[in-house]
Amino acid sequence: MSASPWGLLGIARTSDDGEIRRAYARALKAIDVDQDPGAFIALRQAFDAARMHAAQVAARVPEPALAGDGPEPEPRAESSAPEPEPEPELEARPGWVEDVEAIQALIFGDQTREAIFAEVGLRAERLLNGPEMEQIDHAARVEQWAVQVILSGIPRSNALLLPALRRFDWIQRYQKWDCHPAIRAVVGRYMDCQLVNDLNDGKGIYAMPFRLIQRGTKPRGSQVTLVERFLAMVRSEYPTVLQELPPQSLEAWEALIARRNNALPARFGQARRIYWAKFVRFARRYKLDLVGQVLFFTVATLLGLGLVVATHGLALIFLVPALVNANKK
Amino acid sequence: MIVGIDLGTTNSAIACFRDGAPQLIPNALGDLLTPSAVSLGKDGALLVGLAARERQSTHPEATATAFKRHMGTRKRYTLGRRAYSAEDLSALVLASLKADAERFTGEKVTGAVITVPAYFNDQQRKATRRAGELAGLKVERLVNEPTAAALAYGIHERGDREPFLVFDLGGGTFDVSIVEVFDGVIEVRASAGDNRLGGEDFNDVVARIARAAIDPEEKLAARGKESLFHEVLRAAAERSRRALSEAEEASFEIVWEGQAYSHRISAAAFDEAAEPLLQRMRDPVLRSLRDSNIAVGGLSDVVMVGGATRMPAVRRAVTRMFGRFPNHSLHPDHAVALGAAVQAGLKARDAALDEIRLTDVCPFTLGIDTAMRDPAGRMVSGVFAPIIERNTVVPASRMHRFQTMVDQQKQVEINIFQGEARDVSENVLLGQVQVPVPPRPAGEVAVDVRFSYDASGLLEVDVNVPMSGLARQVVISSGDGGDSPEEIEARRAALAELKVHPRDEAVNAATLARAERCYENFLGDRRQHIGEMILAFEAVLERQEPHAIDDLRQQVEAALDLLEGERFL
Repeated sequence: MSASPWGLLGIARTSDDGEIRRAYARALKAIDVDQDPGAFIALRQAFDAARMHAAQVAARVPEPALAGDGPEPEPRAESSAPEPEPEPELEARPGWVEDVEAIQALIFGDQTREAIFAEVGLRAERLLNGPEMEQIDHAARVEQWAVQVILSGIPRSNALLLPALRRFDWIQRYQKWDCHPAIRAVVGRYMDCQLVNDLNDGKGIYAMPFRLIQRGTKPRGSQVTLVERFLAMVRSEYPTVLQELPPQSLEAWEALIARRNNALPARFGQARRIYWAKFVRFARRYKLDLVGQVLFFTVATLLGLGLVVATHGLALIFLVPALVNANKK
Repeated sequence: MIVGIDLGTTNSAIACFRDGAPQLIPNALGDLLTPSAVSLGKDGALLVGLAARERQSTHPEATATAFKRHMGTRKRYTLGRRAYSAEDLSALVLASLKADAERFTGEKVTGAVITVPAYFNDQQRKATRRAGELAGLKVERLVNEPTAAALAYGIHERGDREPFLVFDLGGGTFDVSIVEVFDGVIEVRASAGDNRLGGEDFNDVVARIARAAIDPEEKLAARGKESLFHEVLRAAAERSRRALSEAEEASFEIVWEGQAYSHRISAAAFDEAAEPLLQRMRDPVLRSLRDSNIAVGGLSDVVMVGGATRMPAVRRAVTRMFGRFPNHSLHPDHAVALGAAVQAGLKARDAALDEIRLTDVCPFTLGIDTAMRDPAGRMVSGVFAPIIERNTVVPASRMHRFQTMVDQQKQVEINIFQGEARDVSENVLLGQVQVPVPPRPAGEVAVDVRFSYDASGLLEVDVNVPMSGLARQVVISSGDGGDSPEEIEARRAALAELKVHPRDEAVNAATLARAERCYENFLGDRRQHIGEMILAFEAVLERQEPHAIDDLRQQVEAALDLLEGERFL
């Protein structure tokens, strides 16, 4: 379809939506959709393209005359700052506005996470189960607000996350192909929280590195591989967990990891560095961890020693009697 | 002549387009609604309609109702010696409606526009189409129920309309559509629904409340009579639910094994128990609003159709949801059939509809399964890739380009799915196509997949490999659904051989069935009285005297009206 949409609609280029619709209606009545679906598909594409053009023009020049009727464009602000809050009604301030304001003040305030958790949870339950939530547009606005507050308030917004997740059925939405990215991010955050819970309960091999970082103990070389792997996994699959970890401790561990990765091979001389690199590649290929590496080294050294001892032993057994015999002669 | 048929879960209706307006056609009993029920009578003949529904509680083992809920599934209903699928039973209802129309108009009915819930999937649509063919109807078009209602509304109040929402809660299904009218174009913007939410579910709620009171230990229906007891409860629940629409309290009465049980159900208790069902109405409404990008404030009206929207609980829930009172100007039971008749008129190019056009949408997403790599580089297969997104105006045609995934791949297998889940195993598989591709490193071979979907539900899939110039085409049609025309013909012949109760005697059969139901529902003197009436009526029917039959029938009906209130559809 390279022809201009205006030609198919039979009008000059315009940004008047009403005129486009009238032209479309006229053209539609001239074709038989059942007999010639191709003509309809082309017409429909032209119609959509023309309306898109009109909407773009309208967006550039805001027309106050049109604001009265028709749906207003959704304020889909992508900024990380939270929306002020759904516009309060003009008459009496309804009860829910207070909860919205209080939750925002608590999450973006400076009290500790533990201190605000209970109150945010309580207010969230009241807000989300209030009688106004029966109204679909109110519920939609609260949903949008909740998504933004949860995402920009990580990690302090957990108390709002759980009731909102249940109320708006986000898990179910998450499984659809057309799930909104913001909701996908919120459910991702929920999964991160599940991981943190499991780690706190000591489940899985990463519970130990998690505890090490969280307690802020002084980084030790013996743990560094496991911590490094834990951080890599978290970065690729559970990004918000990083925000749950104390920053100084995280920094200290990362510094150690970086130091080791840069410095370790350099300690060996130029020639040995190559062997080191080969060994690292070997260890990676066979997925040996630190214990495996040490074990492998030990076994390899023992084998080498054994070989030496064995050959020397042979020499002793055969050569010494021969020499003794020769002396006797 | 082309007719419009509303094939409903509880009731069906048929209408035609005459003299510039859609008109409903009465059945043999003079009613505009025909219950969607089939029952096997004592004489081995099949009863369709009211008579069959009256037998639901007296002969549950020989009666099938609400079979639309199992359309397109393997479920079989056994009536007597023969097992019927939901399609077969629907075909019987459609044949009876067709006979009514032919009698009423004096013309031969050649084709029909049949309505289906907007959220019916491809298999259910295919089954409906086959049911029409089995009944000897050429199915000109399947039209979505809320679309039909919108069409009736658009014809009813001509002129441009801001977007409005059609809220269709029927006997078994729930649909929502957002529709706009401009310059004679009735345009559906979005449809969404729930295939398993309707009046029947509210009946189950009533039955559950009553059962908890009457039979708390669930002892009444031991000895393998559970399904029979359930049918008795269901029939009584329907009656109480209808009474609850008008009063604050209603009685629930059954007679089981010679013993009468009753319980008074208050509207408050019913509303509370129905709350989970009311909550389920929100999701489709939200989805349709989101898909059409319209806020509640942008809706000019909320139009209610479907028998279950008479319930005050539903009306209140809708009022709360939208913050305004819904519009009840359409007849909840007739609107869909009338709209179908308008569509039939459009199809027959009726002059009165010259300036009207309808565009509908495809209410579900069509796509294929793909594999992709996740951030960690692992291959994830079974990821749904949409090609025609839901609520695209039909007919539509869309193309996407895909790449090979594995080095030296020799063949691409494309599975065609319908659904909304990201994981294809949750979606409905419609068909498959395999295409050989030239072996190259992964990602170097492109495969173009084009979907073309037309208004009657025909999906054409074209696969094209530009590198080798190879093209494949598959047609996934709602028309044949794997059955060849010969098979359909054989099944139609088998159905035609069945002995169906003669249409002329439908009135008497209905009265007799009603009297028998009342006989079961009452005890003591009244039961005896009804028993005597039944005997007398049967005697008159034996003698075949038309006048005496008519007289006595009216007397019996009047007596029954006195006993249990007027019959309802």
